[in-house]
Amino acid sequence: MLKERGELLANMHQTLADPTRRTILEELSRRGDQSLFEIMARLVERHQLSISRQAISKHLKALEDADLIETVWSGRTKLHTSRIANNKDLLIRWLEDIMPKEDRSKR
Amino acid sequence: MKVYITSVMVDDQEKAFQFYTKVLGFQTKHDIPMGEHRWLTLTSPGDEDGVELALEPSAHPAVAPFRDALVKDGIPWTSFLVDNVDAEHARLEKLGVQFTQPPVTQPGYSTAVFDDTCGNLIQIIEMISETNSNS
Repeated sequence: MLKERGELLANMHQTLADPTRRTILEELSRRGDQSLFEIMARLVERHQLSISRQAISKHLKALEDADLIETVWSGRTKLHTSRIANNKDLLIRWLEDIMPKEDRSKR
Repeated sequence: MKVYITSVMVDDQEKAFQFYTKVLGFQTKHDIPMGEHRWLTLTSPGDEDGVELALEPSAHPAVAPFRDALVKDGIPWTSFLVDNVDAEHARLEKLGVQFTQPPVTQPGYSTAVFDDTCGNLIQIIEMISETNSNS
């Protein structure tokens, strides 16, 4: 269990080290169920990030592998949704684990 | 030289004809039997001399993999101009049209993306000029 938690956290941190992936998560926090086309459009429009379809596809795969997003099919279109809320406990527990003792009660 | 026609590849010309005329509101320009298929073109309402939209059969084996890949990534085949994306989205949804992207507004324009039931995703776009973009 502990090992699994550690692995999940390691995966998340490694995946989130990339700024484009953090930006994708930011966009998915505004609205879930976005297609690759829509994510690409938002990155250009709102972040001036012009990234190839292949590169975005790779980022989305990495985010999904790290359990940071999930995909569902709407007809024949693949839609992406954030899973940050599902991993909130894990992330908060980690923050608590590294929080200096004297600051822990100040939540 | 001048653009007079553009096209969408459709699985079933009759089904597409019904959808593009009855649901979307385009008007028939040409409907000519061509063997197994039809030469079927439409125009925008109130613009019968304007650019035509051909509903072409998607029978060629190369169409499916290409089109499926676009649909998977949510990429629209083409884009149609509307006066009001929100109103058009509400109207089409009431008629049972499935949207893969609800209306999203960016500075200068609003878009939405729907399934044309004939194998394609179609984007609708509303251009918002500086003067009336008070939202």
